[in-house]
Formats: sequence, structure tokens, C-alpha cells
Amino acid sequence: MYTRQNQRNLTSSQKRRFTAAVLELKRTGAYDELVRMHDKYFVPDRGSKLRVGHMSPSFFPWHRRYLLEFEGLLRGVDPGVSIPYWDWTTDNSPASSLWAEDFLGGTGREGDRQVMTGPYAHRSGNWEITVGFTEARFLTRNLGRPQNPITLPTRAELQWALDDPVYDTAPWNSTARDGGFRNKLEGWAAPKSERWRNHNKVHQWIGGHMTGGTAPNDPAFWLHHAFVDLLWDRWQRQHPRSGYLPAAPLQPGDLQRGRVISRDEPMPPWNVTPRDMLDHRNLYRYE
Amino acid sequence: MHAASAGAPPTRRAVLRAAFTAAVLAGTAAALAPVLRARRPRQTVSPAPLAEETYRGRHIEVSAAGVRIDGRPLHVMRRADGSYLSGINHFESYGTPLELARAAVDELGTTQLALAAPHHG
Repeated sequence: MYTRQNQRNLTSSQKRRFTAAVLELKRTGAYDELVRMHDKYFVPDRGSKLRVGHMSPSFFPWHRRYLLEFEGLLRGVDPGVSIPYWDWTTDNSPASSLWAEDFLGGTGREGDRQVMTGPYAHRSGNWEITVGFTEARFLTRNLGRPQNPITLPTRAELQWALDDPVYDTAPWNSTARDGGFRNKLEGWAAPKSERWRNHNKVHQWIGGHMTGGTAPNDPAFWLHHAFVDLLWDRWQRQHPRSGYLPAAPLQPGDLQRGRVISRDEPMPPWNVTPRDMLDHRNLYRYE
Repeated sequence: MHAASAGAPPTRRAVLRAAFTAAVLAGTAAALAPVLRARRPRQTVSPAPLAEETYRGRHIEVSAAGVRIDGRPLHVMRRADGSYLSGINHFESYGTPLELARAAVDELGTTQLALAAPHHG
């Protein structure tokens, strides 16, 4: 049993230890395997393939299991380390300490968007990008997207998602617009005046590698998703009588049958069901 | 598919006419193909682009074969609502492949796409 802390409360020593463990996984190649896995399981919802990670009800449990995979490896390197979370409604500026030289480093430079500061700058010699859609061998960011400014999700925007008492709704994909905590927090569902919200918008705000399928190339990914994971807890507490949906495999004839994971079906690549992931209190807790 | 099929089955004559028209069109296309190929500026097996433009100094080409930026393929995917996503933009989608390509250029800055994208599910 261990604790995941708010990144703003980490001591310098905790930041150093987290960074050292991440760099060690990068060195062994284990980190890049995780990057490849995220990209592989990003299956969009137009086709008939099974979607486990995105645009589907198992967005929360799949990412919870994925984070545990990473965290298990981290703790194999240093048992005193866990994934910190980043509350983007509070630390919502490129000037936040999160992006300082001693933690994640800052935004990318003009032109090629190369991150030049902190432990993940290419020139540090420890962070070579090997899984990507571009030729860049360096990590890229574009915090706040200055050319076309975007802001991080607000508390109100987040609350709009948390207030929905229904976990997810048909058609269980990115077009579920009438409701559903999952699609509102994943961020495909939004009022007409704005198109993207919450989780998706954070990826866009960071920019660079974070906007693509190989987003975990940026260690900010884990801090973002730890907060998303915490928000699933918050939603459960706010709606104690609501549960994961769909609770049973979809009926024959339902177009989404075979494409989404119901509560007791295993999520590839693990033999773990959403039900197994509903409660993490025997493993870790949030401060 | 066409209006006639909604009420009654198409007559034999209508079916024959449709088949004939298709054959003629196919024949015409086959006959014209060498001429059209010869008129192209360079030898290529890919179909003519549906859209082509220079955006922020980058060459965008949208064709039936896909989207290219400075000649490099952009990995394109679709959402259930018909909109487009790419390997570069996974967390927002765009109405047309051209808008998708522009968004990728915005995100790329001066970086080039990779010649080969990582395997995708």
C-alpha cells in the first residue's frame, strides 16, 4: 500500500527519485515498450475492432491498469517511488513548478518544438525518442499552444463531467453525447460552443508528442493520467449507486458488440476486467 | 441504391442499360488512361490528388491513397461521426482530410513526419 501524491507537494528529493527511476526504465527499453503499447491500443471508433483504451467505456480501467504497469516497473527500480498526479485545474500555467528545470522541464523551443530544459531534454543524453510518428529524436512540447491559444480545463468544466450520474451510454464511443461521465471526461462530448474538453484538452494544451498516439513519450502523460484516475474515484464517491456500464456483454445485433468491454470481460493485453479495477484501495491511495 | 429499386425490382432492360453504361464508361477510362498518364508531370502510380496546397511552407497532398505532407504519409484514422484523426492528432478530430493535414503541420512545426509510422492497432 502506497500513496500517490499531488506533484505540487513533492520535495526536491522525491522529484529526483521519481526522475531517476523514469530514466532507468528509459535506459533499459522498458519505457519505450509502454509507449508502443499505448499507440497499439489506440483504436478509433469508426471500425469494427475492439476498443479498450480510448473512445470506449474501459477508458478508465484500461488506463488504471496501464499506469499500474508503469508504476510496478518504477517501484522495481525504487520502491519509494509512485506516480504523482497533476491537478490541471489548479496548476494551470506553463509557469507552474511542474514544468521547472528540476522536474519535467519546460515547453519546446520555436520551430522544431524541442524541449530544451530539464531531465527529458535531448541534450541531457538520457531521452532519445524511438517510437514516434515524426523524425524528431527529441521530446517536443508546445505548452498552451501560443499560435492558437488553448487553456487547461476549468474546475467548472471538470465538475460538469463529474456531475453526470451515468457512467457511460450507448453507443459507448466518442459520439455518446447525451450524457455519460466517461465521454465527458475523456473529452469527446462537449457543448456545441467548444469541441473538446477535459482529458483530450490537456493532451492538446501540452502539445508536441502529447497530441499523438505516442503521447507517453512525454512523462507528463503519467501525471495527467494519474489525475484522470483520481477523478474516477471522485465520481464514484459522488455517485455511490452508479456503476460501470455496460454491466453485461452487449446483445447480438448491437453494433458495438465485440467492440467494447463490459464489466466482467478481460481487457487486452491483460487478463483483467473492469470489475477488477473498480477499487484500488488495497494497492494505493491518493493524498 | 437507386430510386427504382425501392418500389419494384428493376426491369431486365434497366439492368442491361446500367451494365452497358458501366461497360462504356470503363472502356472509355481504359482508353483514356494512357493519354491521362502521359499528361501527368511525372511518372506515378498514385491517383491524382483530390487537394493539394502549400500550408506554412509545407506541401500537403490529399488523394484517394491517403494524405502526404512533404511527400511523407500521414497515418489517418476515422471517428464514428466520420471525422478524421491522425497519428499526430489523436485527441481531436477534423471534418476533412485537408483540415487534418493542416492541423498536423501546425503541430509538427519544422519537424518532418517519419518515413514509417509505428505499428498501429
